[in-house]
Amino acid sequence: MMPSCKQMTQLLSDSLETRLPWPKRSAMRLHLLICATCRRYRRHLLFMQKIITDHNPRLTALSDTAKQRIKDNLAQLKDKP
Amino acid sequence: MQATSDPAKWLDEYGDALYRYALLQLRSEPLAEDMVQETLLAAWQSFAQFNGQSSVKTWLIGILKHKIIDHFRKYRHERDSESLDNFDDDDALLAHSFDADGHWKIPLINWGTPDKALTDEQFWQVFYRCLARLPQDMADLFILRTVDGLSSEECCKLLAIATTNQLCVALSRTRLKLRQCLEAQWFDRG
Repeated sequence: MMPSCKQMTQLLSDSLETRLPWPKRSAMRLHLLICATCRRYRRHLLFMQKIITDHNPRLTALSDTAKQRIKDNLAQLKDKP
Repeated sequence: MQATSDPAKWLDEYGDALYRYALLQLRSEPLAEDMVQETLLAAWQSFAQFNGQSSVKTWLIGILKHKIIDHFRKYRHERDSESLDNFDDDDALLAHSFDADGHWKIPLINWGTPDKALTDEQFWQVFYRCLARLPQDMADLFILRTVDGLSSEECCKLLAIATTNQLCVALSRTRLKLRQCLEAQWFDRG
């Protein structure tokens, strides 16, 4: 049976996590073929995923100075009883 | 493989993941830094109790999680509970988005060439604001699973989610909410 748009949001999200079994995949493809809004939802999901995978460096990381500071502090604290 | 108990090495390998997790919850860079340091120290002191059943990363994030809970308890700081419009509970967002038959009842707008946003500093502020507006567990989940690449099993363990099925449902809701926020705060401006 054809999934509803609501079910499609779940299937599309799942497909980013794991490879779905083929009946689900083909039902999804069929729905996407006829539903422009779900096609758009899929594009938005892929974009959000891309933000995270391609642009990891843009996501916050500890600066080198912060790392060094923590290392120095840890070395000091380790020596305390 | 024997896990080593060198906090400096943990810092190099997992420092960024711990920091991101702390920053998202504490919203303060110096405080997040302190938490990372405290976590590594506590981990080093209690390394004997590490049973190797989870990965070192999961174990460290677990310690950090407790440290953050303690922090909020100690300072009676209300967590920023600013919610995502009126959609802080799942049902409200689902009811807003779909009709009784499960069809979309909101128009999803065309984001055009969204890649342009990636070079815009303001977009990243919006992105972080949207992440921060997710309910705490959802933000944790999204960061751990998607940004830090923790396995589903590790996420379930850490966030006390019973099954991977529940995890998948939670992730899907998180994406729905994040999409809604990005659209409202960025792509639908003006």
